[in-house]
Amino acid sequence: MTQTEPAITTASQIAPNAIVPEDIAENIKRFGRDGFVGPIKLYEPDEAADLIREIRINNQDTSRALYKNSVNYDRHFDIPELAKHVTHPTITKYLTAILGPDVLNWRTEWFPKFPGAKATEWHQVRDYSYANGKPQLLPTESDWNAYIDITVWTTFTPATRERACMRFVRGSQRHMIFDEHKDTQHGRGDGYDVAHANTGFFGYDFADFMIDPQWRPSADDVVELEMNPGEAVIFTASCVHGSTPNLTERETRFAIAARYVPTHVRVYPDQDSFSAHGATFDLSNYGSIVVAGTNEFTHNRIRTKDNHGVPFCSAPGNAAEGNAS
Amino acid sequence: MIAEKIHAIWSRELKLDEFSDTDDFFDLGGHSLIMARIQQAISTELGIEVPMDQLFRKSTVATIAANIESSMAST
Repeated sequence: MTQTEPAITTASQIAPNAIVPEDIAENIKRFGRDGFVGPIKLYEPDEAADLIREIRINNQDTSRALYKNSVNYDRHFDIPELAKHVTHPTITKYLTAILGPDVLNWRTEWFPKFPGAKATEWHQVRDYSYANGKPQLLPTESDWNAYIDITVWTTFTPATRERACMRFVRGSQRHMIFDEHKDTQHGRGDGYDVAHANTGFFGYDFADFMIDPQWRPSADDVVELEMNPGEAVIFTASCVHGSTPNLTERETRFAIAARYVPTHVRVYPDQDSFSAHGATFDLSNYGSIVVAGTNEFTHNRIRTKDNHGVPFCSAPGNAAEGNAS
Repeated sequence: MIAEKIHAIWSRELKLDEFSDTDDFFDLGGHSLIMARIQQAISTELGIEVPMDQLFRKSTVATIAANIESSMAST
């Protein structure tokens, strides 16, 4: 960063009721400083290879998917391995150490990088309004200075610099470098297939949201995070991030992001559907999942079972009455 | 015979000249879209429908060929 004394404008505060176990206290401290922490092992490499094989097999049948979309949002409702993944105990341990005891999973997304795929440009996301101009998240008990939305990005193949790894601008969660509320020339239209979009950010050009078009990260702050299969990085999307390109000829990198908020955050506030990355998502059967603690709020739709009718392996005391299915 | 034909299909779809019948599809750079094309090619060229989950689970030329031969023997 070029600023010497960062202004607190974006996510930078751990929840006051966060539960920080001693064995990860140093990692949480690092997260607070850098905006990301990892790699964190979730699965052994062999286990990760088995998981991606099953995910690929199950991906062939989309009849129970929540919605048809090429970005594969929310496939944890129809793919059992992902239903289990979003409640992985190591993930929830970190989440409750950052967000506090009561946590929802509100989305999963796939991030394949096929051979030859270009880099994902720098971006910084807070309420996801970049997608269509409307906020997809709205906190009710804290302001945006607190961590509102945490992403757990898990790779199931090697994620090396050559094969595409994530990169971060360390500490950038304290600065507003991109403003999602700006107008954009690309991405918000519908009917395009993101797989064929030749923009920097899956149909969008995130540079459109840059507050200072001349901004470039200091090389000292850029961290390229290589990861092994089964490892995750936990980060706030308020930390500027992107990825290297896949320069290989035949090695796909496959990662899945799971996104989480504290229960006080309203998810898709006042929306029955939303558009993003060229697709429209009907929220009729959508619900967030309580992955830790309890949900005392009634402002979010909650799902307790996947689309096979199998309960999610989440915490007891799963949902406030009246909005669970 | 079946293994040779499947090897030729893999070679064409993976754009790969040299590989072993025991190499794993994903280690050779395969992904879902390529496997869908292979499934279609096996159907067109061999007249055999192989479910996608079998192609993924038995993801070497040798095991797919053995599976097909076994199925043909039992019908």
